[in-house]
Amino acid sequence: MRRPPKLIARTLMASFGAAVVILSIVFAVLMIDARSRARAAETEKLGVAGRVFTALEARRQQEQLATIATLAENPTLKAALDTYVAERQFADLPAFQATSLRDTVVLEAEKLADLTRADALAILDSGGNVFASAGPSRDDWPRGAHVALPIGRPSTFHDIVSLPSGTFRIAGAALQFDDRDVGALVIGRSLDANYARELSNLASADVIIAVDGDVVASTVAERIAADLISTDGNTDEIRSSGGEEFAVRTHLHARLDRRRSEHRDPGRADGAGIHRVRRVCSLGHRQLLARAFADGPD
Amino acid sequence: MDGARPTAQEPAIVSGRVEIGIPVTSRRPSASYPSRAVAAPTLAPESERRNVVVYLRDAPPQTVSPIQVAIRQEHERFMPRVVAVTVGSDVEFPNDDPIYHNVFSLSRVGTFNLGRYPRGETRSVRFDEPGIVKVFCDIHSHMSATVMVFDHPWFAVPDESGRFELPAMPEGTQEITAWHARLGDTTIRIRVEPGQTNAADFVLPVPEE
Repeated sequence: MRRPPKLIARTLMASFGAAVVILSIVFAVLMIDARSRARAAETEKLGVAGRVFTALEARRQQEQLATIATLAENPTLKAALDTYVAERQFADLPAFQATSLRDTVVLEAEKLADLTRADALAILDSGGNVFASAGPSRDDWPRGAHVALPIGRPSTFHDIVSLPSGTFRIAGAALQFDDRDVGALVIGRSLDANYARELSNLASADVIIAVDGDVVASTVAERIAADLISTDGNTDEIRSSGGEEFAVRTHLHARLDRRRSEHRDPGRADGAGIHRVRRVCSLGHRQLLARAFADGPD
Repeated sequence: MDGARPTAQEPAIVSGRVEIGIPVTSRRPSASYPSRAVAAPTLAPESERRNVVVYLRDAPPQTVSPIQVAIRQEHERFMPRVVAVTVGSDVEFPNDDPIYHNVFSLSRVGTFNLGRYPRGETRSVRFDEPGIVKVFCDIHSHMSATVMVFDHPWFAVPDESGRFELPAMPEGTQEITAWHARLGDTTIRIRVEPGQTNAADFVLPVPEE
């Protein structure tokens, strides 16, 4: 049998090797390009959805504040609270009178809680302590619990506060007379799984809620959620978990002023954060190539 | 409180001045009543001193003559915001506004509800027990006033310059209190000497040492 000439064989091998190298480079470029496009597309979707969500949330908050400002103009509620405080300061308040005034405030609070369908509605005194609470989660707002509201806040406000029972997103309004404030009316919503689901539906994205670096509620797997929350609590970037990439945008982050003696790890994120998440790139190599050929070169 | 209890045979005058040292009118605009808000903090105007009541603390009951005063409802406010009266006194609540008001109180010594009445009408309440009475309007929730009812004569509301004078009281160590709705109580002890004017000056709130 005749053997092919060495020159032809070497030429064929070299050509074949060059073709393999060139094709490999082309495939690698296509994969990188497809991954980059997929990342950009998902990030853009998150951004667009986020803008819509932010606008909707802003409107929702405005309406909520308008509602709570109106509710805070309850004459009986304010009168009972102010009378209780004034009489206690001026002279000993008989037990029956104290109970009667407190019950009046509680009754008004319960009516307002029914009206607003709030998880928890609390009346705070001028020192920021819970005077009375109502609603299904009233036990999370026990009498005497201190709520650290921001100093110099406007007459209506939104905030995130931490109580021993948990962390809450609140909307509130000052209880005011002509010459002074006598307290605040606050509606609280627990930062829990239900709230995360509700936000996720509105945002068309997954949601992670974290407090002090710990995930308290999430619509993605807990393992993934923990990976996606950065140590500084503020996340607005592409992050990886379990071989997948996720676009993460922080919707809300708030520092929590807590007067607790328990030790907090200074290396962990401080405060409460609500983050929107979209899976950016979980495609395997074959799917990436298919996407690259379908989209075509730039 | 130590020292002799006041008696009518050992009179001594107590007079003084009340100063209000921090902003009192620094109130945020109300979401529901923005036109009525004071937007920027300012030091308390001199008229704020008339919202202070100075009185002898723990004074024993005395026979006192009733008086008649009025708290007017004008521009959706109670004017004056604070009055001090003796037991048995009548307080009138004339409505000077072109709208209805509904004056009420939940206080132990004077629970009442005068109902709605229009401009030009006046209704009154007699206070027969000593104590503090907080007064409100059931229609306009930002309105409030205070009636302090005493069963002795040793009380006064300062004038606009902050000056006050308590009627003759017996010698001895006495506690004098200045009350303000927002700034709370401030009590000082003074030694009351017979036959002279004894000074009792207040700065509300008491500055920190």
